[in-house]
Amino acid sequence: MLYLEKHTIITTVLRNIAVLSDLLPLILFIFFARSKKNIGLRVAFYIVVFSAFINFFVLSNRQAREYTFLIGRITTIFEYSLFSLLFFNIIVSRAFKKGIVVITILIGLYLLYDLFSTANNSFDSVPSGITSLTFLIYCIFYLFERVSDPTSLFLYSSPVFWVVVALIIYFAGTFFPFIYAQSHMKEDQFISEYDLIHDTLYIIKNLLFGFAMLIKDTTIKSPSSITKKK
Amino acid sequence: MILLQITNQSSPLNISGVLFFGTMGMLALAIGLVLFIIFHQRRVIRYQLQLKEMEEEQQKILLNASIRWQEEERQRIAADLHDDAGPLLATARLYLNENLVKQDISTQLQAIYNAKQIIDDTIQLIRNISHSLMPPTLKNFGLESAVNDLFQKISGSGSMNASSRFHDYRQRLRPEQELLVFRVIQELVNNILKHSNASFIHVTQNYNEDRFFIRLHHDGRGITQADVERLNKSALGLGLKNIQSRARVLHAKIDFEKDMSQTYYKVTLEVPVEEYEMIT
Repeated sequence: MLYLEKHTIITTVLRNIAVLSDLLPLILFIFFARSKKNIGLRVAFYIVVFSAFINFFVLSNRQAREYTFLIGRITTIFEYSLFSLLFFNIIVSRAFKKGIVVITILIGLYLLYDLFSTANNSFDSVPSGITSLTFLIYCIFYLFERVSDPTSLFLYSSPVFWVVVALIIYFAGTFFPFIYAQSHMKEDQFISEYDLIHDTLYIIKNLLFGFAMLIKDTTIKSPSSITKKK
Repeated sequence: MILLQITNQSSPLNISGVLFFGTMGMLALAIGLVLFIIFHQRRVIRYQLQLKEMEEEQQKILLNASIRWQEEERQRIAADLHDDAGPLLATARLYLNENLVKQDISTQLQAIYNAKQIIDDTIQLIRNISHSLMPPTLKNFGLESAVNDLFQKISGSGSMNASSRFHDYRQRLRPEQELLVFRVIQELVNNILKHSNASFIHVTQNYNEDRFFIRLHHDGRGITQADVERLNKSALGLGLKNIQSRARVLHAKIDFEKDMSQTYYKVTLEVPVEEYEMIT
């Protein structure tokens, strides 16, 4: 009993910090970002604005809480579109870009189908799991593409790198909670564990987004670098 | 799949375990990947910096070699002028000194004749110095003629059999390129004459796609690419460093190797011609 109480306090505190953590990248982008035109920072900014809007205004409204799962599905579609756009812009390989377009269309159609056909009374585990896996693949491909390009130096001085790091950590960490959420969301212990994992990773994601906002895009390329387009 | 089956049948404690270990595993993989990328990048950067340092060091050695070569060339010209032209002109002056007017006419004529001979020798000497600086055959008739001329002179000396064959030289390189290629050949031949104890040198020229090739074979003691790299790091091998700085100006590749038969040494100079406008 005591354990559960402690747990509830921790999850509540974490939830509040997570909600407030949206403000960090937002403020840093508006006031301190030195590369505002950077696609990674812009996408991160729009995602954070959307999340902050949902967290502060929609979920604080009692009527809106009834539509939590519907809002979750819409959020998944919104995030999916923006992150697909981000990876389409930052990945160099033309073949992979074509793949991104095809996958985006297919998964986009599935997400829309899921939104309209499924009753909005449960967590969207399958769409979330699919999108998480897709982003993990995109993130891994982006990182290996950068590593295999001998001309790209000081990769970690690029804001996009930290945005991708934030995404890979967030999506890798929340993959299992998302997958099990649909069938176990009614269990109190699962909810508290889900909140604990999700909120912690959400805070880490926002911290990394905030860190990315502070970095000036100074990715150094060696003199002979000519981006090879496959 | 197994995890899902276990979860479906199991108690909340099992779900907790799956969540904990699954999340930790995924996080470990993600963080491991990111750390790998960061450390790999650092290693690549260190490697690139090392390469840059080595390149700078190499450039410095080549520059020093080039300066030393220039100084040696100047000293040689100065020595030629001072030791040969100087005494010759001084002798001519002696013949034409003030006492000449006091001599009888036949002595005067003899002295003038001798002075004329000495001045002719001096002119020849200065012409030789001038030709060694810029061969007139190269300037007037091109690389093929200059190389043939050089090799005829070597063969004519009887010390070595030297031959050259230009297979496809209808399109000439630009004059400055020809001079650089000629200097490389000259330096290579010079090295062979000095160090290899070869009985023959043979030079062939060819074009392959957009590349101009000069291949030089000899049967003496030669060097391979490994020797060249070793010499590059030392203060020795001034001639080789000059060859390499010229090849660098030409954006050319030069390879020192032993022939497949292990009998001959081969030097190949490969000049990309697309960068240099050729003249017909």
